[in-house]
Amino acid sequence: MQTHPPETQSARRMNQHANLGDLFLIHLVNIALKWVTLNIYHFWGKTRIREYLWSQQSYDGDRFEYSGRGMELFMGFIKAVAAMIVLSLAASILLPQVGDMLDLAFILPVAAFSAVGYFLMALAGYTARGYLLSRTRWRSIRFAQGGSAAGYAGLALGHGLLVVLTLGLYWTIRRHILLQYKINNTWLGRTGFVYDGNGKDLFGKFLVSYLLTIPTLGLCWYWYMARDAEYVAAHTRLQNVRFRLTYTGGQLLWLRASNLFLSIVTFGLAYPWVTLRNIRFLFDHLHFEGRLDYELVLQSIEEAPKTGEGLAEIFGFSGSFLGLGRI
Amino acid sequence: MYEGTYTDGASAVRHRVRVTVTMNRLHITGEAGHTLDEWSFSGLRLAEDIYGSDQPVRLAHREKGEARLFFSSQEILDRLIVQAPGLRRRRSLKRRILVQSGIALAALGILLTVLLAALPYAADRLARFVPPWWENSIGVGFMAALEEQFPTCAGPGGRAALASLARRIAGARGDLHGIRIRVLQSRVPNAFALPGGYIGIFEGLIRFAESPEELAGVLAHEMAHVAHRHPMKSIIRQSGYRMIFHVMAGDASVLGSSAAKITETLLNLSFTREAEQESDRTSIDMLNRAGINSNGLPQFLSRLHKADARETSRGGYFSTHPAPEERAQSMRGWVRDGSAAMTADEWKAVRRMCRVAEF
Repeated sequence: MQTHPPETQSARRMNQHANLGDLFLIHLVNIALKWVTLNIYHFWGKTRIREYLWSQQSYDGDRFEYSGRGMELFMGFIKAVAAMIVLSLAASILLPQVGDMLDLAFILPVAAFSAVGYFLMALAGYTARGYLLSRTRWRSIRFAQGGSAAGYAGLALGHGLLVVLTLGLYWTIRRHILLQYKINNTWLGRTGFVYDGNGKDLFGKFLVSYLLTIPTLGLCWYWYMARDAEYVAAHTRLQNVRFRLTYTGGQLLWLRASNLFLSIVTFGLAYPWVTLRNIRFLFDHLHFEGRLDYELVLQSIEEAPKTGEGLAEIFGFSGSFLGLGRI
Repeated sequence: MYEGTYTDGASAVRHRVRVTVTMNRLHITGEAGHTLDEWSFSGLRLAEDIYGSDQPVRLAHREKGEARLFFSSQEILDRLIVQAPGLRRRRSLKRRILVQSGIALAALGILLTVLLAALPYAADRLARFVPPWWENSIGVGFMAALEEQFPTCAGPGGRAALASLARRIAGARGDLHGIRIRVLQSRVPNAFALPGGYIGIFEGLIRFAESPEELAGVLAHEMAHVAHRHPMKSIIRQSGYRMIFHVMAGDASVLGSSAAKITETLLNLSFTREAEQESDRTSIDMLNRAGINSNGLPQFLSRLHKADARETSRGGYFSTHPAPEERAQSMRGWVRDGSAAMTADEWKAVRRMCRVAEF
């Protein structure tokens, strides 16, 4: 006997409507336009891909909307390049003099340089995530990110030092401190996401993976990351909604390995396929419990940032958000 | 009349609505039959482009902020496309292509300005800020890597002869007194300058030279690169180009990154051309001032060019020093006769430098 899942349950899933052919076509046109424009089209192409992907994903019957503009990304990039030029100029003048003074010619500049670089990367990641959230809408309501990018980067750097000092053992504690900062500063309109997880809860499993790294050639980390994802979902809340993420380490390993294989044999042309597989994987395993009280999900009155992601572009990554794809 | 849903932009509540299209506006009524809103055609736009035939239509309006109208069927579009100018524009492929190529051209202009003018200018400026100890450490690193691959020729008489030749060429130029010359074992007839005043000459070049004046010409040319700080400038430029291209080939597509590689190579080549001409001029000046016969460099170049045309040796002199005939031609106007670059004994010692290591 066949049973159908009740209506409400299928409604409370993330659904994916994207078509591989469409995405592939957009991707190819992007590549062609990037050629013609010596890659300047990059920012507009990226925007087009996002607009398409967002509009093909729905929750409770309504599709997401991406309202970012290529020009915003481009201006953000120009700003970041200008900032980097000023910074490297300052570094080339200051660092050698400090080094000469203390006669620690090599170690000090290198350490300072890595710390600043790391700080900037964290800053860039947080800012990019904020931009992405601010350009995402669902049922007219804008997502948003609060907190401060500098605060986040400081946290990432400070706890990053502890990771180094403890030979990596502090990693999972730090991860969940940063997750707390990120998720608790994520908003749908005036409704905030809440995260109450703590890395201590996962430390036992983390330690096992840590010790098994060499005998399993690192593969044990897929199982750890699956547990970690499940834990993060279970400790996240949005109003009345709770999340459940249920994939196994084996499934995650298979996804990553097959995606890697696809990318290699197609020289990266399989990018649309890989992207859709990642999204589908997440949506297939993500469950929602409880329902949003929509009357209480109200638009925020705060202004969204004007330009975006510049610094992240320099470091070669951009924000990812609720698994809507690392685009 | 069209059935759809409506969100007002203030809350996430979704209203079922019926929409009637009148002469110049959309009339939106709620389930109870009351008017929810009215949207004029001017200012009406699609929230995003429509790709598939099963994609719902989402409308937004310039004056209605974040309110949105959804229709699961695309029927309403056929009706609106005739009347609403905003939708027509978004859907007109011709116009979009025109606008996009306009933007692309403007972007290309900006990029070319940055690559051809702003970046080289900034790199040349920046090179002056690089402190000597830093530049030196870069040169030491490069040289160590090269010496690992190609053994150094250590014949003491030859080293002394080269050092005294370099001193003569440098003359009063204090910035060239710290120059360090290495002769490396390799058949490739080439020479190079590194940051920090290191000059490398491959054994193949010494073998190919027919007179000490030819060798002096090449040495002066490399010393001119050092005087102009070309190696450091080139490194800064290349990392600038690389950073920009790396950033823009963001996705891992092979097509995009190979386009970037080609452009980068072309840009580097054009820089090389300029730098070579600058160094040619300076090297002839230095030789003339030192009273050394400066016919050597153009002679060497045209001879090597002829030999190269017969057997194209990969990694040879012209892979890093382009346009030999042109260069030799322009130098012929500046050259002067002068004294010999070395004594016969010195020249013999230089030619034998690598023998010591060979046997």
